[in-house]
Amino acid sequence: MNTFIYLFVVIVEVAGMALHLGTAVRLSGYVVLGTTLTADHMADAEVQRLLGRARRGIWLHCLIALAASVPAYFLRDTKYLVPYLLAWALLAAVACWGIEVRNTGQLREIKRQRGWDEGAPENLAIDLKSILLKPKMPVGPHWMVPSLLLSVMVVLQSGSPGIGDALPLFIWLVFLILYRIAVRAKTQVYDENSRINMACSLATRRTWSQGLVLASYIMPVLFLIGGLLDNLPLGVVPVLTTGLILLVLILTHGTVRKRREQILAQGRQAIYNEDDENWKYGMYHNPQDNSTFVEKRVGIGWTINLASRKGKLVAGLAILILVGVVVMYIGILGGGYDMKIDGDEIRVTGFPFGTTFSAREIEDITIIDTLPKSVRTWGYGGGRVYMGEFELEGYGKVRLYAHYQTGPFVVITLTEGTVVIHGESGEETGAYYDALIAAAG
Amino acid sequence: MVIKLNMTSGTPIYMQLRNQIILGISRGDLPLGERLPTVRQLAADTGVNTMTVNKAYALLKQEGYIEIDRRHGAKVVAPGALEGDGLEKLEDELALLIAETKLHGMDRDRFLQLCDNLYMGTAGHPGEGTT
Repeated sequence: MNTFIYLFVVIVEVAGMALHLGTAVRLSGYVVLGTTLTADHMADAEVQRLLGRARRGIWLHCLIALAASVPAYFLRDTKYLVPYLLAWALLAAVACWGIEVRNTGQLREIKRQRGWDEGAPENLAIDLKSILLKPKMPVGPHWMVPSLLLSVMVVLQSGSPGIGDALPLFIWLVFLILYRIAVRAKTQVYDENSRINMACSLATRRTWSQGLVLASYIMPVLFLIGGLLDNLPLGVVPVLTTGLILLVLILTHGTVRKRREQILAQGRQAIYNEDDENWKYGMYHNPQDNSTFVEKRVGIGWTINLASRKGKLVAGLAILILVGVVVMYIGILGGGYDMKIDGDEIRVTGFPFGTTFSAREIEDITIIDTLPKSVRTWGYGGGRVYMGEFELEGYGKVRLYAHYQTGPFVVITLTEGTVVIHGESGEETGAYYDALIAAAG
Repeated sequence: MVIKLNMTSGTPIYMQLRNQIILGISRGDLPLGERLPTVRQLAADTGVNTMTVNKAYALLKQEGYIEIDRRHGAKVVAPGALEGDGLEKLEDELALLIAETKLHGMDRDRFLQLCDNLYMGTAGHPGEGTT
């Protein structure tokens, strides 16, 4: 299982960084390395040298990141593996951002030295025809209704639905939000010829809306298939889902970029959107723009306008969620869990995955020595504790409370669902077992 | 038709928007009956304040260049002949321009030639131009 976690995290992180930095060095909509450049300026020898250095830098960064991840492969204990991988992923992401900022800074310095940033006062171009036809360009949102119904079916398919079963519904909502951002995004003006601008807008909106609609089907379909096939190895469905969603998003981005560049190659009177000064450290801050989301200059998708009121709210919310998750993890790590019996009521405390059930619901109590293969669906796993909903081989979905992955474990079969609990020592597990047997009568 | 706004200019944005739409109509880029985006569409797509776009559209409507329909947005219409206040305003603006031109030493023939060139350059009558 540790090798599986290691490979999954490393592949996603390294491929993500290579893709992110790769988009920076490729010209897209007259922007390269987060900087607006004309075709003439792109041909400049110093610019080409910088791009060559930046491309080599991406390979070097990815190789160093891979080398730094190797020690994690040899960490057999999840207690050490998870914090190591977390720290590694965070450091690699910060270094990736640093490379992006450094390369952008160097190109802007060349632009400044050559005086290419002067004499561009027209900093907002509007194409009236493109705006007028914008609502007709994407595929309609009704195409997302079947994927919503499939997500609801995932919840209904589970006999006792938990938070993990609602994951496709949550992801569907994320895709709906992304769809709205994609179809409402500002119309970019690249050329004096309206036909060029309209073709670019159509290619962008149609392709992104199609890609996001398609992506919204992946999770519910695979979860439904996974639910029907009992003999699938654990972890196959989540990994396949993540991989396919990422693949669809990457292909969509690539298609949009390719079509846009093909259309722009036919333009004769390019309009360069000179708003480099609104992009600093890879972030967008433009007080004169009321838009909340804008297309990223580097990477895939959209980013927040940190100067807009809604943008600040979204950024604040994102920070709050991040802090909340960290606080929750600290709470889990510090608090652990405990089992209390009060008359007929058995309560397992464990923030925020506690559970309560009645002794009358207990159908069977057994002790097992080893924990079967497990996959977390909604909960925490690693460090001192494993808590929450887990998919356990041979048992299906269970509520698991364990300190380590070594036994013994008490398996409580309820009329609806299963709870698996484990003490910090064999004696504590034994005490849990005795207390449960006494409560169940 | 492409409109370019200079966000750092001393001319207010709504006035730049109004001026460019009038120039577009006169060049024939916006022919008679051509639909314009609604105030909300234009504001949302450009990131410009709704009030700013509304002000420009209200001015264009007042001056007779566009008609505004709540459901279908704005539409280019043929403005009426200049008379009354409109003619008076034109005379005032021309008088000031001629005064400035004279003070800068431009003779009458050159001024009239310049006017003629510009008039012909924007000579497309609404409805006759191409987009």
